[in-house]
Amino acid sequence: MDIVFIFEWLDASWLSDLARTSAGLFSMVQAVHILSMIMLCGMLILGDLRMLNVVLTGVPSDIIIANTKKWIYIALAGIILSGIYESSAIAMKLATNSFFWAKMAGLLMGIVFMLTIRSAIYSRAPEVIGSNGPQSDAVEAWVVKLVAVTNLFIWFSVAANGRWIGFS
Amino acid sequence: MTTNTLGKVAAVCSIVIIIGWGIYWGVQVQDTMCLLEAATSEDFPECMDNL
Repeated sequence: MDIVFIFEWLDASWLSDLARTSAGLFSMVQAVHILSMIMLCGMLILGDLRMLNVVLTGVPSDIIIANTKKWIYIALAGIILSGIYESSAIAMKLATNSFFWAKMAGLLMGIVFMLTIRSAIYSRAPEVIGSNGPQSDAVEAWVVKLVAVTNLFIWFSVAANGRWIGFS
Repeated sequence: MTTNTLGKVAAVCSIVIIIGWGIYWGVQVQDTMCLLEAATSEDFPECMDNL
Protein backbone atom coordinates (compact mmCIF):
# COMPACT_ATOMS: atom_id res chain seq x y z
CA MET A 1 0.00 0.00 0.00
CA ASP A 2 1.45 3.33 -1.07
CA ILE A 3 0.95 5.93 1.64
CA VAL A 4 3.46 8.48 0.39
CA PHE A 5 0.54 10.74 -0.51
CA ILE A 6 -0.08 11.25 3.22
CA PHE A 7 3.46 12.58 3.62
CA GLU A 8 3.07 14.73 0.49
CA TRP A 9 -0.13 16.17 1.92
CA LEU A 10 1.54 16.79 5.30
CA ASP A 11 4.57 18.35 3.57
CA ALA A 12 2.33 20.83 1.74
CA SER A 13 0.13 21.65 4.73
CA TRP A 14 0.05 24.87 6.79
CA LEU A 15 1.36 22.81 9.72
CA SER A 16 4.55 22.14 7.76
CA ASP A 17 4.95 25.86 6.95
CA LEU A 18 4.50 26.70 10.62
CA ALA A 19 7.02 24.07 11.73
CA ARG A 20 9.62 25.32 9.23
CA THR A 21 9.24 29.01 9.95
CA SER A 22 8.80 29.01 13.74
CA ALA A 23 12.06 27.75 15.21
CA GLY A 24 11.09 28.74 18.75
CA LEU A 25 7.76 26.95 18.62
CA PHE A 26 9.37 23.91 17.00
CA SER A 27 11.93 23.59 19.80
CA MET A 28 9.17 23.90 22.42
CA VAL A 29 7.13 21.18 20.72
CA GLN A 30 10.28 19.05 20.57
CA ALA A 31 10.59 19.46 24.34
CA VAL A 32 6.95 18.41 24.78
CA HIS A 33 7.61 15.33 22.60
CA ILE A 34 10.63 14.31 24.68
CA LEU A 35 8.92 15.03 28.01
CA SER A 36 5.87 13.02 26.93
CA MET A 37 8.14 10.13 25.97
CA ILE A 38 9.86 10.36 29.35
CA MET A 39 6.50 10.38 31.15
CA LEU A 40 5.20 7.43 29.11
CA CYS A 41 8.32 5.33 29.60
CA GLY A 42 8.50 6.34 33.27
CA MET A 43 4.94 5.19 33.95
CA LEU A 44 5.42 1.97 31.97
CA ILE A 45 8.75 1.21 33.63
CA LEU A 46 7.19 1.78 37.06
CA GLY A 47 4.43 -0.76 36.36
CA ASP A 48 6.74 -3.27 34.68
CA LEU A 49 9.44 -3.12 37.37
CA ARG A 50 6.72 -3.52 40.00
CA MET A 51 5.60 -6.69 38.25
CA LEU A 52 9.19 -7.88 38.18
CA ASN A 53 9.27 -7.28 41.96
CA VAL A 54 12.06 -4.71 41.65
CA VAL A 55 10.42 -1.49 42.88
CA LEU A 56 7.62 -0.59 45.32
CA THR A 57 7.17 -4.21 46.32
CA GLY A 58 5.17 -3.18 49.40
CA VAL A 59 2.49 -1.48 47.28
CA PRO A 60 -0.24 -3.64 45.68
CA SER A 61 0.29 -3.74 41.91
CA ASP A 62 -3.38 -2.88 41.20
CA ILE A 63 -2.86 0.54 42.81
CA ILE A 64 0.26 1.28 40.75
CA ILE A 65 -1.30 0.14 37.46
CA ALA A 66 -4.53 2.09 38.12
CA ASN A 67 -2.65 5.28 39.04
CA THR A 68 -0.28 5.19 36.07
CA LYS A 69 -2.97 4.45 33.46
CA LYS A 70 -4.27 8.03 33.16
CA TRP A 71 -0.75 9.44 32.78
CA ILE A 72 0.09 6.86 30.14
CA TYR A 73 -2.86 8.04 28.03
CA ILE A 74 -1.96 11.71 28.54
CA ALA A 75 1.65 11.00 27.55
CA LEU A 76 0.54 9.06 24.47
CA ALA A 77 -1.64 11.97 23.36
CA GLY A 78 1.30 14.34 23.87
CA ILE A 79 3.65 12.09 21.90
CA ILE A 80 1.29 11.64 18.96
CA LEU A 81 0.21 15.29 18.66
CA SER A 82 3.71 16.73 19.04
CA GLY A 83 5.06 13.98 16.79
CA ILE A 84 2.70 14.91 13.95
CA TYR A 85 3.81 18.54 14.23
CA GLU A 86 7.50 17.61 14.29
CA SER A 87 7.22 15.17 11.40
CA SER A 88 5.44 17.76 9.23
CA ALA A 89 8.71 19.73 8.98
CA ILE A 90 10.57 16.81 7.37
CA ALA A 91 7.68 14.72 6.09
CA MET A 92 9.22 13.68 2.75
CA LYS A 93 12.51 12.73 4.42
CA LEU A 94 10.69 10.57 6.96
CA ALA A 95 8.67 8.78 4.28
CA THR A 96 11.79 6.85 3.27
CA ASN A 97 13.52 6.67 6.63
CA SER A 98 13.79 3.09 7.97
CA PHE A 99 14.26 4.24 11.58
CA PHE A 100 11.05 6.26 11.38
CA TRP A 101 9.08 3.24 10.15
CA ALA A 102 10.69 1.03 12.79
CA LYS A 103 9.64 3.56 15.41
CA MET A 104 6.07 3.68 14.06
CA ALA A 105 5.86 -0.12 13.95
CA GLY A 106 7.19 -0.31 17.51
CA LEU A 107 4.81 2.41 18.69
CA LEU A 108 1.80 0.63 17.19
CA MET A 109 2.90 -2.72 18.58
CA GLY A 110 3.59 -1.17 22.00
CA ILE A 111 0.16 0.46 22.18
CA VAL A 112 -1.67 -2.72 21.11
CA PHE A 113 0.41 -4.88 23.47
CA MET A 114 -0.15 -2.48 26.36
CA LEU A 115 -3.91 -2.17 25.88
CA THR A 116 -4.54 -5.87 25.36
CA ILE A 117 -2.07 -8.39 26.77
CA ARG A 118 -0.30 -6.23 29.38
CA SER A 119 -3.56 -4.87 30.74
CA ALA A 120 -5.25 -8.30 30.87
CA ILE A 121 -2.29 -10.10 32.44
CA TYR A 122 -1.47 -7.43 35.03
CA SER A 123 -5.06 -7.41 36.30
CA ARG A 124 -4.66 -11.15 36.95
CA ALA A 125 -1.28 -11.01 38.67
CA PRO A 126 -0.90 -13.68 41.36
CA GLU A 127 -0.60 -12.83 45.05
CA VAL A 128 3.13 -13.60 45.05
CA ILE A 129 3.71 -10.70 42.61
CA GLY A 130 0.78 -8.32 42.91
CA SER A 131 0.15 -8.39 46.68
CA ASN A 132 -3.51 -7.74 45.84
CA GLY A 133 -4.88 -10.53 48.01
CA PRO A 134 -5.77 -14.08 46.93
CA GLN A 135 -7.19 -14.32 43.38
CA SER A 136 -9.06 -17.26 41.93
CA ASP A 137 -8.24 -16.36 38.30
CA ALA A 138 -4.54 -15.49 38.63
CA VAL A 139 -2.10 -16.27 35.82
CA GLU A 140 1.27 -17.82 36.51
CA ALA A 141 4.01 -15.55 37.86
CA TRP A 142 6.45 -16.27 35.03
CA VAL A 143 3.89 -15.12 32.45
CA VAL A 144 3.50 -11.77 34.25
CA LYS A 145 7.28 -11.32 34.31
CA LEU A 146 7.63 -12.30 30.66
CA VAL A 147 5.00 -9.72 29.68
CA ALA A 148 6.83 -7.08 31.75
CA VAL A 149 10.15 -7.82 30.04
CA THR A 150 8.50 -7.80 26.58
CA ASN A 151 6.84 -4.47 27.27
CA LEU A 152 10.12 -2.94 28.46
CA PHE A 153 11.88 -4.23 25.33
CA ILE A 154 9.25 -2.81 22.96
CA TRP A 155 9.30 0.67 24.48
CA PHE A 156 13.07 0.78 24.76
CA SER A 157 13.30 0.04 21.03
CA VAL A 158 10.72 2.75 20.25
CA ALA A 159 12.71 5.34 22.20
CA ALA A 160 15.99 4.23 20.62
CA ASN A 161 14.60 4.33 17.08
CA GLY A 162 13.23 7.81 17.74
CA ARG A 163 16.71 8.96 18.67
CA TRP A 164 18.28 7.24 15.66
CA ILE A 165 16.05 9.08 13.20
CA GLY A 166 18.39 11.99 13.83
CA PHE A 167 21.44 9.94 12.79
CA SER A 168 20.22 9.22 9.27
CA MET B 1 -11.27 -16.67 27.33
CA THR B 2 -10.16 -18.61 30.40
CA THR B 3 -7.27 -17.41 32.52
CA ASN B 4 -5.24 -20.45 31.52
CA THR B 5 -5.75 -19.72 27.80
CA LEU B 6 -5.02 -16.04 28.33
CA GLY B 7 -1.75 -16.91 30.03
CA LYS B 8 -0.73 -19.16 27.13
CA VAL B 9 -1.68 -16.53 24.52
CA ALA B 10 0.28 -13.87 26.41
CA ALA B 11 3.33 -16.10 26.72
CA VAL B 12 3.32 -17.03 23.02
CA CYS B 13 2.80 -13.40 21.92
CA SER B 14 5.60 -12.22 24.20
CA ILE B 15 8.06 -14.82 22.94
CA VAL B 16 7.15 -14.10 19.29
CA ILE B 17 7.62 -10.36 19.87
CA ILE B 18 10.94 -10.78 21.66
CA ILE B 19 12.35 -13.03 18.93
CA GLY B 20 10.71 -11.44 15.86
CA TRP B 21 11.07 -7.84 16.89
CA GLY B 22 14.53 -8.59 18.26
CA ILE B 23 15.72 -9.81 14.85
CA TYR B 24 14.15 -6.84 13.02
CA TRP B 25 15.43 -4.35 15.56
CA GLY B 26 18.87 -5.93 15.49
CA VAL B 27 19.12 -4.86 11.84
CA GLN B 28 18.29 -1.30 12.90
CA VAL B 29 21.05 -1.43 15.50
CA GLN B 30 23.52 -2.64 12.84
CA ASP B 31 22.48 0.20 10.51
CA THR B 32 22.94 2.72 13.31
CA MET B 33 26.41 1.41 14.11
CA CYS B 34 27.28 1.68 10.41
CA LEU B 35 26.04 5.29 10.21
CA LEU B 36 28.01 6.16 13.34
CA GLU B 37 31.13 4.57 11.85
CA ALA B 38 30.62 6.51 8.62
CA ALA B 39 30.23 9.74 10.56
CA THR B 40 33.36 9.26 12.65
CA SER B 41 35.67 7.49 10.19
CA GLU B 42 37.68 9.08 7.39
CA ASP B 43 37.21 6.00 5.19
CA PHE B 44 33.92 4.97 3.63
CA PRO B 45 32.86 1.86 5.58
CA GLU B 46 31.88 -1.25 3.60
CA CYS B 47 28.64 -1.61 5.53
CA MET B 48 27.31 1.54 3.84
CA ASP B 49 26.90 -0.45 0.63
CA ASN B 50 24.20 -2.52 2.30
CA LEU B 51 22.17 0.40 3.64
